[in-house]
Amino acid sequence: MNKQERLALFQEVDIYPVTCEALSHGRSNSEVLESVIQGGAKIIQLREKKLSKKKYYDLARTFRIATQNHNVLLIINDHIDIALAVHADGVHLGQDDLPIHVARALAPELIIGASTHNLQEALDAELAGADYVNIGPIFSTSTKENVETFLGPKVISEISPHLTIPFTTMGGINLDNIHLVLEQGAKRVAMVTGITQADNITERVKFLKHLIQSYGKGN
Amino acid sequence: MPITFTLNGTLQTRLETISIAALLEELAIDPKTIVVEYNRQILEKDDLKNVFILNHDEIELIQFVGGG
Repeated sequence: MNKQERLALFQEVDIYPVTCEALSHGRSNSEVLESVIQGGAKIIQLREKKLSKKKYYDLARTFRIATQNHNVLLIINDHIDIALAVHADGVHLGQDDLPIHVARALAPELIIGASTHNLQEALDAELAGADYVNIGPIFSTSTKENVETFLGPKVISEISPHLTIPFTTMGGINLDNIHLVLEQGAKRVAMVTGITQADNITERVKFLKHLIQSYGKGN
Repeated sequence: MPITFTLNGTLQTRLETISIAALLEELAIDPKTIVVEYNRQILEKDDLKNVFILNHDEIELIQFVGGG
């Protein structure tokens, strides 16, 4: 896929599963991947903070094969070298990772996503060449250590009107509170445990997709 | 005019039509956290009050409870 095709597919994204093997109730990342693909997810982010480069690369390669077979976007967290090496579709960068303009120069064809926590960071990311920004953490979350104070769902409608690129939302979003982010206009919702800890991941992904769709389409 | 429709696979009869939103209210179901399939199409939240149930409609209310 070229960049244009990748971005076109990104437009279809609703639920955005993010992996975390340690929080998957004993299931491997590959099992989780299979299930989210079956559920109809259009994207998955491989995010493992504690793997060695070699293990991360091996895992990313297996993810690439499965995602490519099903026309699912593969985004690699943090590691642009791995994203390029396995021909992933994109890389997701935090505020402490490689600067976006540097990543953009290295990888002109990749989707570049950026974690942002306020309007200024979101605008800076867009200006620097990000293809989407994540706004978060929306709620208190257990999947990240030393996490910034959570922002609350209202931040979504405060930031999003100022953006011309798509945005995702993440951080502590689960079945009990997802409607609060959807009410603020979120169309793309990233989740770790709301998906990885479901008894039936495939059914959970399907349900979440449909729930997001039921709040209407748009950017 | 009386109508007959299915709600989650169960046949229901009413003396007259009712909007999906009003039906949910009767059932004390919060529409924010469920998916409503109306004749196999996902209904958008904004449409719930405008869609009135017709004879032979199929309505599925999908809730996700528990399970992590």
